[in-house]
Amino acid sequence: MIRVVIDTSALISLEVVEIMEKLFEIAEVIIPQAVEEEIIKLGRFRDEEGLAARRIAKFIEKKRIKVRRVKSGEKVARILSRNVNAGEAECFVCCLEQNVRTLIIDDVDAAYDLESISIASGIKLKLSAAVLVELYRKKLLSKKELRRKIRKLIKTRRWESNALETLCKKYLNQ
Amino acid sequence: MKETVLTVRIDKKLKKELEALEKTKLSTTSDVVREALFEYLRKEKELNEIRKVIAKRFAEGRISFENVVKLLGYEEAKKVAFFVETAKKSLEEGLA
Repeated sequence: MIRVVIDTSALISLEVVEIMEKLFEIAEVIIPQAVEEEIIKLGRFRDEEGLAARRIAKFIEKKRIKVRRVKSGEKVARILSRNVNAGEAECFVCCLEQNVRTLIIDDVDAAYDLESISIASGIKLKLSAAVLVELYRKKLLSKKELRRKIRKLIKTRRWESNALETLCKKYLNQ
Repeated sequence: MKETVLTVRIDKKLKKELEALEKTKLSTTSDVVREALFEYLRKEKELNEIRKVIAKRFAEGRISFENVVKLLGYEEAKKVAFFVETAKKSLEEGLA
């Protein structure tokens, strides 16, 4: 089974397209405490993302998403920057401490700041779209479902939406 | 338009600069902060739209990295290139 750490933005995106249940079939999902806290905060909003956050909180309650306490606060502090918040920094350190090689992160600014240390540490940074592709490859999603969910996923993006749409069209047609 | 109150924590240095600006502009703190926030959001929105178009063209291979640098500046261009590369890998490799 694949082991992945997922940051708040990607968790929300994946639950907005209702894919977490399927992800549990192929992956062990781990989050640090800071992400759990962010999810609880987001759950207070009365919109689609708030609803997704409340569903994620239930997965945490049922221990389908595993919460791990990050031991090295010092490492987290070193990673924090204008673009990398506590949740993203803890996700990265969580990968190191739990020996997880894949971090699913949708915040481009944070991922960009984490790029060099992730290469140095052998941690792959992936977008939530990678989960959909993986589920399709494992035949847990049909091509039609993949296209539909990717279309919905794209809507959750900011300036990246058009570029992601272009790339999806290109790769899904191959 | 219905208004609401926003409480923001700022450091003393910024507060002093804000007070100095209030004197020169003969405005209230609320006016200065409201105007600054409005301008910031407008610029962010504009930049977002520009990034959106450029990132799409770069992903399509219709403009080079050098041209993205000319249009957005080096740091933003690197971010666009990083996103396109990460997206490509995510779509090509899945979680592998």
